[in-house]
Amino acid sequence: MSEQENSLHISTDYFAAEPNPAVPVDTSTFIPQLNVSTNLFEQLKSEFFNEMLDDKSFNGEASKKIEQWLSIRSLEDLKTLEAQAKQHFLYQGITFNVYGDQEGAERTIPYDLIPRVIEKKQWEKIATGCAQRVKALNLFLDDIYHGQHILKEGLIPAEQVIAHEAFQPHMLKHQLKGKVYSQISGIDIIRDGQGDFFVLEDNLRTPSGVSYMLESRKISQKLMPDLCSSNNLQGIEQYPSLLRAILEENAYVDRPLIVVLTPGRFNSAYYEHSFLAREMDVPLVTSRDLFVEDEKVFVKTIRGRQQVDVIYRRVDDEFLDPLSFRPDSTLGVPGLMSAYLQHNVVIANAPGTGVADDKSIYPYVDQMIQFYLNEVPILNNVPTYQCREAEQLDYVLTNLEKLVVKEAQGSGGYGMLIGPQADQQQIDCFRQKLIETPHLYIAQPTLALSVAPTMTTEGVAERHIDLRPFVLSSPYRTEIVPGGLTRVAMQAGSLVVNSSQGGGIKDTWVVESLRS
Amino acid sequence: MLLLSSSAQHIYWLGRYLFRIAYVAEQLPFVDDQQALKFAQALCLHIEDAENLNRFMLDRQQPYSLLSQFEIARDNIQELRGLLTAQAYAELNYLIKNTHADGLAIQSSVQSCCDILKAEQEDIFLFFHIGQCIEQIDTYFRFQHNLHTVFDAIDPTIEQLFRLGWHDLQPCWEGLKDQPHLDQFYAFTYKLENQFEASS
Repeated sequence: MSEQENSLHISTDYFAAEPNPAVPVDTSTFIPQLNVSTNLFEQLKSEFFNEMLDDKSFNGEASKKIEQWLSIRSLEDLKTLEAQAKQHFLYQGITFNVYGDQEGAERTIPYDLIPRVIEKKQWEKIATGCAQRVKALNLFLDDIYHGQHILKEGLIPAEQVIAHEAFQPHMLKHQLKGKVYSQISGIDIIRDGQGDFFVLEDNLRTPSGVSYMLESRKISQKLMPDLCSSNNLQGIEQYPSLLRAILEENAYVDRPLIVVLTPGRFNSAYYEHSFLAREMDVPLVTSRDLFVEDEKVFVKTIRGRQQVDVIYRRVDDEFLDPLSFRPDSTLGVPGLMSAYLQHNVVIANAPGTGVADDKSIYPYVDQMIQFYLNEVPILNNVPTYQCREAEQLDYVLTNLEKLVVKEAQGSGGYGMLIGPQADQQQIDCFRQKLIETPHLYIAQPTLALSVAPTMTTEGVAERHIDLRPFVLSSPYRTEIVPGGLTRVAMQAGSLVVNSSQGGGIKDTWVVESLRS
Repeated sequence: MLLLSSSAQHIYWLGRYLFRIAYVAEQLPFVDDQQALKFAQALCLHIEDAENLNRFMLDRQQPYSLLSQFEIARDNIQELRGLLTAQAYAELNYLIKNTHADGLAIQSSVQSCCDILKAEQEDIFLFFHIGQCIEQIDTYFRFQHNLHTVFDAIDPTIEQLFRLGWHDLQPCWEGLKDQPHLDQFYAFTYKLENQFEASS
């Protein structure tokens, strides 16, 4: 699914089987000076799969250490730590604006003190599954812009791809180094009531949130140094240098000049753009800094022009080049596509990549894996109803109260219906939309999403979570730093993790074995 | 480090704004109406007494107040976020956001901002310093101070631009030094602004 950066970059949205509130929290029970043996997390047992309690692959050591750490602190102590985290984010300017908010209102993303823990073997499955998926998606993109074998085989309806608004005719027959279209991918993963992993959506356009992943680790280490060091955490701090290396490997020249292209400081993800540029030690540019001459891209510097070899763009396709796409775009660079098509510059991710991460294409990823890699998918998809299909539409219309309906190209948790939580008016409204424009929607069964212990104002309670690992691809390798961004729905019973809608973040710990 | 022309321009304007803010903040509070009137006229403000000028300068709602200009300085800092170190950005942002509406507090914040920028990379400080120098000339024009001493002090800094290859500036700079009039000054700053946009 495409990522809509202007609604704060994180597009997953999900829901549980029933509109159930989180387990009622009794403040006196949960936090103040619990005895370690009281088994704090055990008290959160509910019908949902609890990441700290129910994972059979887990030896429980990490969970115990976190419990113990929490139990010897009062609720006030923990609130003080959370306030310090908020202060840290504010001071560092790690804030975002939500469109529609009062101008200038800065929000910090809620950071939850209690980390999410994934056992290394479990992580290896996720990482292998994500890598498999991204490889197949890249091969799919190469195929649809070249031989179109998967369409000719009838595995995916051709009109669904060719007529897709993200399909870029400019990319037809254009060869990419190593057939890598999506150098940076974010795969949104959830767990169901049995603890099985499912991919909820793929983000191949401009997936964001990685800066929150890195900042949440930094603040965890600052606030809980003892807890962090007592566990054998897999490092994630190498992400910026790895990203730079991956971008270099995608270039057509040795020692390429890389830039990060941002729409500018009014974009809600500007913090992340500047963070990545600074951490990679490459210039952060806007369209004003770049120009094209003789089908080469240059950047204006105080010492004259310099040719640009790789553009890590955080600007959507349609704004990239006013000569090729939207003529009214001021965010793009006139002539950029001509330079790109001459192989004089690499654009990461490639234009036209969005066709592979649409929700209506998502149901076919399993077939892609089988078709291109001849492998069985490691990670499952959530079953999806294509409302463009008459039979499936009938089912969706009959079962709206039980299903979740999403816009095929929507993001940010907007434009969706959570059937079990919707009132009759909302259901009627969506019914009408589905009848009028069925091809714009997909539907999925509700899932009992997993939960994790989370700090709330009253104490520890369970909250629903998801995970976005970031996959980096070059012609020579696929890399994933261990962890990813865990997003958490901070409101009791809420199933929406998007930061633009009040979602928060957790540090994600991939642990091998836990020392005492 | 590769310094973008646009970043250099933001640093330059940051230098200009911070110099201007510090200069005006030093004069606060005005107590003499005549002095306030003269000062206001030099800044093209239609304010005739000390009390109103003091209030104006510390009013966030007034677009030309010191606090509003501080906000514009902050906009430039936002534009430089990918360039400044995380610590420098955080400190600058914090200082400006939390400056009290008080002449001494503003002076102190500006001084702290300058100290932070001095510790950044050489090219960053060069353009920051050039911004301060140009604003100093502007200020001296407005308040009719002796410019020759300023030119002598600034000359080595401007020459660093020529060493970057910005030779087009040299005739205008020499012209300004020979004939220190406003039109020469504007010709020089116009040329300088053009350099920030140049693509060769």
